[in-house]
Amino acid sequence: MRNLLRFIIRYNSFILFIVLEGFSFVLILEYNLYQKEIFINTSNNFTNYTKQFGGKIKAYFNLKEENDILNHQNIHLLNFISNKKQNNKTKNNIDYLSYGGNYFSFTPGLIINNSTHWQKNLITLNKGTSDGVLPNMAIVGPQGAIGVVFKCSSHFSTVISLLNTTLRIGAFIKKNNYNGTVLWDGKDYRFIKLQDIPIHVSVNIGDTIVTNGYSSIFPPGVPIGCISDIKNEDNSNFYNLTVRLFTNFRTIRHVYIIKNNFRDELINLETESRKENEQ
Amino acid sequence: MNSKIILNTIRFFLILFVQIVILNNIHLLGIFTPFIYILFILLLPVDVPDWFLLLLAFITGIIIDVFDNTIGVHAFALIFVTFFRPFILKIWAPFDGYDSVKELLPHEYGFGWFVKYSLLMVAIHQLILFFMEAFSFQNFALLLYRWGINVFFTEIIILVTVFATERRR
Repeated sequence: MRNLLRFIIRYNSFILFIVLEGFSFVLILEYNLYQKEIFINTSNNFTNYTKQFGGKIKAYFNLKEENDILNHQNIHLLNFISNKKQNNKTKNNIDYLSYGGNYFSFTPGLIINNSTHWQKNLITLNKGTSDGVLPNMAIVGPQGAIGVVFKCSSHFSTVISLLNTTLRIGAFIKKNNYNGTVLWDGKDYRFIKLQDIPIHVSVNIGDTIVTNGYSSIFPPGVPIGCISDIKNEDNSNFYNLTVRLFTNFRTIRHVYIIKNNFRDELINLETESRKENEQ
Repeated sequence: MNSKIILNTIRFFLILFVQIVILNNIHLLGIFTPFIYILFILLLPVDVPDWFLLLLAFITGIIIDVFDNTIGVHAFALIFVTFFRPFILKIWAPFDGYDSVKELLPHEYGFGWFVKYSLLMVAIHQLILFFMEAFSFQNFALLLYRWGINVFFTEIIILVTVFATERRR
């Protein structure tokens, strides 16, 4: 303590200099729009590039796991193609890949910043408007849904993760197509809640949950997770279902950005119809 | 002692008045505005403690800022250069040191000494000032060009002011 005091007294003018300069700097940023704008932009770019650099290093540690996951997905795709060639029917098999073609287009992306410990987690991707990414596009990982694009700059974009209490995604149980809503309760990054499934529907532990594609953001049939816990609260007509996510949000890195090429058309049609319907 | 305080207080108000009312409205060639308020810091006695020097610089800078609509920019530059004043004074100290009775004026320590001292102070001040105002490294050549012109003319104005107001013995 005495040493600290001695230090302060010895360097009083330097400390005062730093304090006053800091104060003027804050004043500059606070009261001058131009400087403020530049400062915010520069620091944002700086933090994003640093995060990208940190992410590159971190990626090496997950390389093996990442390769395994991508490998599995490749095998899945190969099987899918060969199946399709053998029997062109693919009956009752709603898989988002079968839409492919010109309905949805895919862009690969890399997660450079991610969090799982907040209530409203955001993910940062290394693709932005210059790569054709726009808000409200779906983000899908090799194992399932990840989130929805929130905001874009020219080289980066932020994604509202599934682990964000504000995001609701329409989903159904794959085996019987009953619709519900998926949302996160903010507790555990491995589990998510499925709501609005009436109690007369039969559900089992292990049933797969996939997106229903009604929102025109996600393609139909993107896997989300499987049911891990079934609760039926008193006096409620709906199940309280816990879903174990297929994707591990702690280690996810490679994602696909999915663009619905007909989204504007679809939304225009729907809003117009809704308007006329109300009249 | 008292006369020194009174003299510097009068100087403070006079310089700020001239700066705000007259010089802030001059925009020669669109790039040159003389900022001579640094003269107040230049001429403060040598025995003013460093912390008080910094506070005075902050107050002066903020007052100029308020009238120039650039809150913080002038204050930042002036505090910066004021911090280095003791070191700069030390570089060109006379053989027997500074006499706290004498003022930091050309007729006490010589014309060459005063030009060196004021030129370095003005140069640092204007560089920080323009840099904080532009706040980016884009158009750095233009910034240096403006800086050079401003340092040159500000220095001339400071010298003229000093010689015109000097008390003749």
